Amino acid sequence: VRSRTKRALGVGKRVPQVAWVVEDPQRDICSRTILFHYPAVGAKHPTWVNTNRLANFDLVLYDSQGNPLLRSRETIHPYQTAVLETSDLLKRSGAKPPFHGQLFLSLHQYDWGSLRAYVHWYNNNAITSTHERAYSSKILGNHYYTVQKAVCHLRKNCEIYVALVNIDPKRSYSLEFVLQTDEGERRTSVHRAIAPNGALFTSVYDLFPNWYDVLKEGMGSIYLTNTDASLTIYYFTLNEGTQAWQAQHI
Amino acid sequence: MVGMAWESQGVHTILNLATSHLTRSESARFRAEVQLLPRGTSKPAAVAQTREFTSGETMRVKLQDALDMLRLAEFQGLFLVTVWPTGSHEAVEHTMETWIDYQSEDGKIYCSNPAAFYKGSARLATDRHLAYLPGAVWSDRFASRVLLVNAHDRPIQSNITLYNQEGKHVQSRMLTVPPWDHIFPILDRELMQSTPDFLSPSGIGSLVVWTRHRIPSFVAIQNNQTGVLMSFDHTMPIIEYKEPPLVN
Repeated sequence: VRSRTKRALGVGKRVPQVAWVVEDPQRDICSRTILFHYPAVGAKHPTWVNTNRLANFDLVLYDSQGNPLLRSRETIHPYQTAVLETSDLLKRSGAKPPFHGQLFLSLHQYDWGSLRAYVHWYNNNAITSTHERAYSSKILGNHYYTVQKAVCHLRKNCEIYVALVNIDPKRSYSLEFVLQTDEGERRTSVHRAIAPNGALFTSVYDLFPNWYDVLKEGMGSIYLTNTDASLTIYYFTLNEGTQAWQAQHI
Repeated sequence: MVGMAWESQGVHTILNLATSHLTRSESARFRAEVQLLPRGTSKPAAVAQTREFTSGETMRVKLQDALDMLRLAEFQGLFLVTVWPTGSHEAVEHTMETWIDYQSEDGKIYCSNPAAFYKGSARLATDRHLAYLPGAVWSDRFASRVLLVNAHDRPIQSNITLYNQEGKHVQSRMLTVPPWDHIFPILDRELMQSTPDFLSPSGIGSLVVWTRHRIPSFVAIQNNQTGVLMSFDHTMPIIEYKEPPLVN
């Protein structure tokens, strides 16, 4: 599986990473992407240890339609942490919020090392974080993408959002979202388009305005039937009581 | 899979057994067993089996239900989840994911965290003792909390090294995770023997967790002023470099 994963990712040349980033004052959510360069150490390959080694990577910022807004080359010195505020990237690109889209990172090395990117999505109330997710459809095969939560099942004053990035630079997709009960009963579906390198950020309410009736206050999940699409997917919970976002990847 | 069972002070734990994106057959059938282990012992206080479920379903296990059956008001310890296929199909049981939801009744704690394999996990790592996480936070307002889960019969020592953006570091005092238990310390003056100014002005850095034997580690982010905790995720192993570095 590992060699298959590495082939599909193109590891062996450069390591690609994809994150969904956002700067949206109206929705009260911002983001930053963080990388940490811990030089390769350890007993396995001690001769490769080079604590003076720089970590270089390229970044491309795409808008939600897949248009490149910014290209840049960055360097991280050993033991340093790079913090890429989306607001700063937007300023450099000349674009303005509200914004959401793809941040593509390409490491100039054969493997991740310690440079797996994590993303903070935050506002004044909370920070939520998880890592990038550059998975190709070649890795997933015909498996489904599943968002486990269609509803917030303990508290009702939450709303679930889904953020997707199409990491395919050439193909657009008509994504089919299916709402199903926990028992696996398919209730309804809806289609949304996503452009090459584009992104989609939508709430369950926008996808299924009648989700509460459809699930009869029960729990449920959403899955995507596009098993051929290369997607990065996160889901978010906005807690209306604390006005805090919670994120996790799929 | 192993994880922290957190059923106290209004916080509840819900296990979400996700299968449909990991099995090729929609009719693959599974059954799961959940053990609740009180702190410090491998002897379960409760063992429960789920009904049989298919890969199209989402199996949710509320630990509160188990506590109600045991007539316990609170519980802190570990849970172990074992999942196995019950039919003749191509499903592979160890590929099932268990997502843990921690949710408090007042809404201040709401997060989802992957459970970790405590047996059979295989990841190539440069150093099996180290795991890292970019984006640790420590300021007057926010602080990261590190969860270490020990599902072994011996105590395991650990320490946390915190790096600021410039690459300077401070190291925590030595921590001990008792056998069949967990610790969940927050970055503070007592633990790190430093002050939040170490990460100023951004309040953001990275941490490296060293453990004498490899155990799962996770990092949460807490708002110190309001108690809101909305972030929980696993650390990363330092993946080995297959070749000498390309560029320098």
